[in-house]
Amino acid sequence: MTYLLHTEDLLENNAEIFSGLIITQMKKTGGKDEVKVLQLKNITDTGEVELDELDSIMYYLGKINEKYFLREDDIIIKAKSSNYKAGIIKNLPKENFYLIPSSQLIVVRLKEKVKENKILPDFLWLFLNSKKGKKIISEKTYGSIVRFVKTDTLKEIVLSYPSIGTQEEIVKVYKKMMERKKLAQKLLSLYEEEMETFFEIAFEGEIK
Amino acid sequence: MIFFLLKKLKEQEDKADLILGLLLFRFFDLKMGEDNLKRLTNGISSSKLKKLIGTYKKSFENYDLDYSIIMEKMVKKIPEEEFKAILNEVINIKTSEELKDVVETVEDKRFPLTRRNLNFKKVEGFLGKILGLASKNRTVYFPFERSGNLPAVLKDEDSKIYVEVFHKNYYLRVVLNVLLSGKKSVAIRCSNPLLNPSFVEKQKLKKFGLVLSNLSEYDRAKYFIESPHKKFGEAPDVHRSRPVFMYLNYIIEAIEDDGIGGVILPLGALSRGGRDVLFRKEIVEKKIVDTVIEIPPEWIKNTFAKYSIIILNKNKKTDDILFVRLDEKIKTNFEEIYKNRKTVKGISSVVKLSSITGPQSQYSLLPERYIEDRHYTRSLDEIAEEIAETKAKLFELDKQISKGIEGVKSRRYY
Repeated sequence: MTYLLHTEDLLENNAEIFSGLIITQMKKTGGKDEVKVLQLKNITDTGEVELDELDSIMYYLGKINEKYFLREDDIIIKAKSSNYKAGIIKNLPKENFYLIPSSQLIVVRLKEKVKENKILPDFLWLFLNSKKGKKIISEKTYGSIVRFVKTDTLKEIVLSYPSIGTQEEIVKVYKKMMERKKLAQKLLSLYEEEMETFFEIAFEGEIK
Repeated sequence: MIFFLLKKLKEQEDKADLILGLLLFRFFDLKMGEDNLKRLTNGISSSKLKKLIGTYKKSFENYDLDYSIIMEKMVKKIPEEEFKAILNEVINIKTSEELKDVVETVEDKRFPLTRRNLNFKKVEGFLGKILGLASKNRTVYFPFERSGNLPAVLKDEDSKIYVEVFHKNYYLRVVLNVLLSGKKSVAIRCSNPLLNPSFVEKQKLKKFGLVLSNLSEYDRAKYFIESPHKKFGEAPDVHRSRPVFMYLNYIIEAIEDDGIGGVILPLGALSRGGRDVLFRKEIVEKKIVDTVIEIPPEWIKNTFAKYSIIILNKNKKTDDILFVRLDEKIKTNFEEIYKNRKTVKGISSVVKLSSITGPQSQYSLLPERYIEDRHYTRSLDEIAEEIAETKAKLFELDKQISKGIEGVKSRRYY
């Protein structure tokens, strides 16, 4: 690559960073509103956030601080896990859907102005899942049984990023690469189906 | 060098066991809302552990556990500083969600997946799901347990469950997995039921409404010098050279007269000749076999061996057996097939007992023998057309990606 990462800045200056809520205590309290809970298991190994199989609890919506309701493009980090991964929230249902993070997760929410002209959420998500991003995070984790990431140490991370135009291009290429990977897998299963169908017909003498 | 490596591994195992024990105590603390574990801050000893266990025993009468094994696994020679560091980390765990995650991590280190320790979570989850509903108002028994996954996937938290852990090395792991799954009333003992069953009433084996077990890793080496099940003398007889049937035999014996059972076992056991035929003859003719399911090979990685689930029903009303062959590539509504005992071409078949007991059949219980081959619904031309379309899309994507990479490479910013 010939371009340089032209800007360096603390993540803290660009984003709101906070950890999730202790769900067991909320469960004990109970309530009348259904609230969905994002947990470690909902973040896949490829960094996608699965919204189909969320657990839910009954609680009072009014008792939850507004900031804890997850929004589109929020980046979620597995903070207390043996298997570090960052996920990104996409395609959140618009109505009557209240999603909160559990305490093992840290939320990184880029400020609106930053999203517009400084750092793209998808770019930050790719960075946090890249080898370089993982290395920076792992240097700041602690714990011998499970690696813990603290919100304070995340705030200290120095981000290096190119212009927003370059970020857009990088994200675009990455998404196309992922699409290509899925298509290649589909092609493989089509070849398999063709082979099996061919032999099935061949042994029944139906090929003319 | 080898000696050194073995020694190191042994030390790590001990450490992992100690951590699992502390995590169990932390589980109790979180449930009680207390910090009793802090009593070990000045170091661990048998007497301190005994006192601590006394506190937990009083509060958790519904958990019938073997605390002597827990003690044995926890009192290890570990440098004091290291012990304190571990204890601090365990005390810092504040929620059961965190606890679950830590248990999983320690398990990965303590029981790494080897050929003999394949990952059966998906199959166990499936078995728990299909027979979970049947657990209501029944006593549920899990003999030969090694991981605790099977009792954990059972949805009904109120069932009284009995678990028999095969070896004490697995004990803490099983206890943690079962308790963390939210079961309220459990008895977890440790023994090989074939030699010395833990759950016995009036000199007879206790009977259970539902019995579930994973026999995929039954132990071939040690336990067939005699046929211990004979002392209760009800189940079909088995020759000691066929260990898998000794285990299966025991399970059949533990099922109540109107109870059911579900067992994961290697597919080969369903069709081998010789003495195996006699055992299959007996269970088929006694109408104990309800359903046989072939598991897709993709569900268990790192092995070429095939596995199956056999569902036993001592109160079977029909004169047939349902065979199902699950295939990852074919969408199957298993629940509907199982509930309504349906024959679906290529997937399932309801077979009359007379077809299984015939002279040629050898009482084979292999699903593929009874299920008609599935015809692919699409023609070769249709498939070829989709292949061409996919290739064209891939070609277009390749071009776009190359262009995109060039674009990113050519950017210069200072």
